Amino acid sequence: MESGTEDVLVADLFDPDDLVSQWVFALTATVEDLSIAESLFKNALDNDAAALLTGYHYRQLIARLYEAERVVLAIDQHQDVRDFVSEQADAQPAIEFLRDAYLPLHTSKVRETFGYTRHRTVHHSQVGSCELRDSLAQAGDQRARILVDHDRQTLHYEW
Amino acid sequence: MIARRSITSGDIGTDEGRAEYVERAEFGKEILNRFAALLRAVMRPFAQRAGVSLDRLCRDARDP
Repeated sequence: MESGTEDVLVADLFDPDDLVSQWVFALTATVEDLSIAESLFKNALDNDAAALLTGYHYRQLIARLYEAERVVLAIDQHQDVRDFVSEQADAQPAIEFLRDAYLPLHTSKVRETFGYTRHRTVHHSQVGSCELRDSLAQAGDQRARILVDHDRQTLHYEW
Repeated sequence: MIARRSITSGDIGTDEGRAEYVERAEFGKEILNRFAALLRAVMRPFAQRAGVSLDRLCRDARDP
């Protein structure tokens, strides 16, 4: 595809009051975030990075996967969006897969698979909560250690 | 690889944990692929709808 030379402004492409514009913008943000998060996680996994680092990238990826439900839900919620995507034949296989993964919302495969991890990513357990107490109790037989890197002068609390 | 479990990071340090991570990550990768396919399918008609050609939007990533 040839590169253009005349700049396009956001306002040229996305009408702030247009629901289809809002939906396409949200879709692009979702794809960008997921692509970067997946790449960072895979890089850590493939290179046998420390569990702390791999786990961190995993949780960021899961949080973005979970939040992407809003893009799928919007197709059902907004007639303008539904009309627009229904006219795009090439989009139907992807929509069918994503609807199966994300809907119905509260019992979706995505929420079932990633819901707990997403929750633990977005929210640290509250002090005094049963959740935090139970986490500590369940992990009581696991090693606790602090990784000390004298060269970098860093400490990692690995538990 | 560090062979241990973690409260905050899960079981990535064990073979079982790693397999679970990979399985779930593959599901996530498939979701990403489908979102990307959806975006590819709608981007051109959306741009046309806005009166903007894709050629005007695209730039060489190495020299934007």
